[in-house]
Amino acid sequence: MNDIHEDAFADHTQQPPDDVLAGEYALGLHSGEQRVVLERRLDSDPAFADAVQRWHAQLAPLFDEIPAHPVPAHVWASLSQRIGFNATPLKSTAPVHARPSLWNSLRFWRGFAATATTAAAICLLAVLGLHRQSSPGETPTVASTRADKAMTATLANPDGHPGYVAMMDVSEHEITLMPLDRTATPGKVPELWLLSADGHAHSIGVFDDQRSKRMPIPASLTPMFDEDAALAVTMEPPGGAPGGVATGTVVARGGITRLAFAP
Amino acid sequence: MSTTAETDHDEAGHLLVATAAGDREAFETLYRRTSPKLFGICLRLIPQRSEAEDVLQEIYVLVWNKASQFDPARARGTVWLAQVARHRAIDHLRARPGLRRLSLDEAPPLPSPQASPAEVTETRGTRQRIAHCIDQLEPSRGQLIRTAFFEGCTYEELAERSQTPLGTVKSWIRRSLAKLKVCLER
Repeated sequence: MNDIHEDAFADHTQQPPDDVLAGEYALGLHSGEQRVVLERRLDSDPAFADAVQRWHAQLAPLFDEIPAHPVPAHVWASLSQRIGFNATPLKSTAPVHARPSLWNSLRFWRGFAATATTAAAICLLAVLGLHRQSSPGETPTVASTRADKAMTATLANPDGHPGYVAMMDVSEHEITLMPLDRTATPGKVPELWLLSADGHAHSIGVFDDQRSKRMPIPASLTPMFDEDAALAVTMEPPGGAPGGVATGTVVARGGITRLAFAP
Repeated sequence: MSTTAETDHDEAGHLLVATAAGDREAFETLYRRTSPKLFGICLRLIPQRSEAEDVLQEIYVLVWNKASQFDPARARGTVWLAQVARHRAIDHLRARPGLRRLSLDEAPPLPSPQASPAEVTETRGTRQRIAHCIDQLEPSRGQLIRTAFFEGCTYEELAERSQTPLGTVKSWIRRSLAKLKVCLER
């Protein structure tokens, strides 16, 4: 490209040299037809495209002056639906192909283990209480068999703190979800999902964000409750995710632990 | 997310390449890591929050569909994303002149040239190159360049805001771009 002299710009009705035109385009100073024309030129004129790219790279450090801003969760919810991540509907009980991206890849769940311990301990006591209440006068043999089916899960919020504790008495087909420190989301309810070992998500039901709620476990899901499965909560419209397809992002998640009772 | 960290590890670039191959997990990670920054860019250009959210969503739809156009040899992932975001936000502004008009009516006059922020980032050294070159311009012209970049203004809007004839603004900016070019490549 030639050297550019200031005089060249005295007449603003003249098109400037390509280097400057590329800078104008990179800044986005044009509107309407001229912008469209230059956009087309990018495809047909590699030298011009290179010049624009150089400007972009040189201006890019200015982006550091723009602060990042937290993005509301609903943007991802509609985005993922729009690009087909949710294309396969989640039936409430039948296993369907899960979206691994939504359920499995949330790296922020890491580091939860340390904070989970306390809640897990609370949970253990709660399950014990629940278990004794539900099986008065059982013989020890039966009780220990039932204890094999007592499970717990502490569901961590994205910040790693426990958000919910779930207690399961699988032999009784019962699950209780206890919110620990949840601020109610207006117009949304927590929906609990079982993430089975094969990566599928199954709706267990709609719970309450303020109080503990006990629900029956759908019979078809009972065999899937084990230590290789996990539970997750998404925020959904009252009544649950429409068509069994989760629309909210995962707000809490945790693995299932089988309770080992001392003899 | 930094747009200019000059490290060998371009995480956003790697995630974009994986996204181009259809890796949904990579795309979601990319979204989680980069969307706050891109949302900041959208909000800077589009004052209406709900519109900015819509545009952010469109940007990531574009990224999902067009990630194959990202060439790691030509740009860092974050730079490419920021560029796509700014371009898309400007398209949105251009398609709805009323949106910008509204905000211009409420907008304060151009900030004084001295008010250029010097936010310290890990990439300060890199940032200073373009900032340094803009600072070499006459203050009012440097401010025009900054306003064009940060607010996505057209020539017409800059003329209106600086209450300067359109032709004069064009000449100023073109001269400024020519000077910047020399300074940047020095």
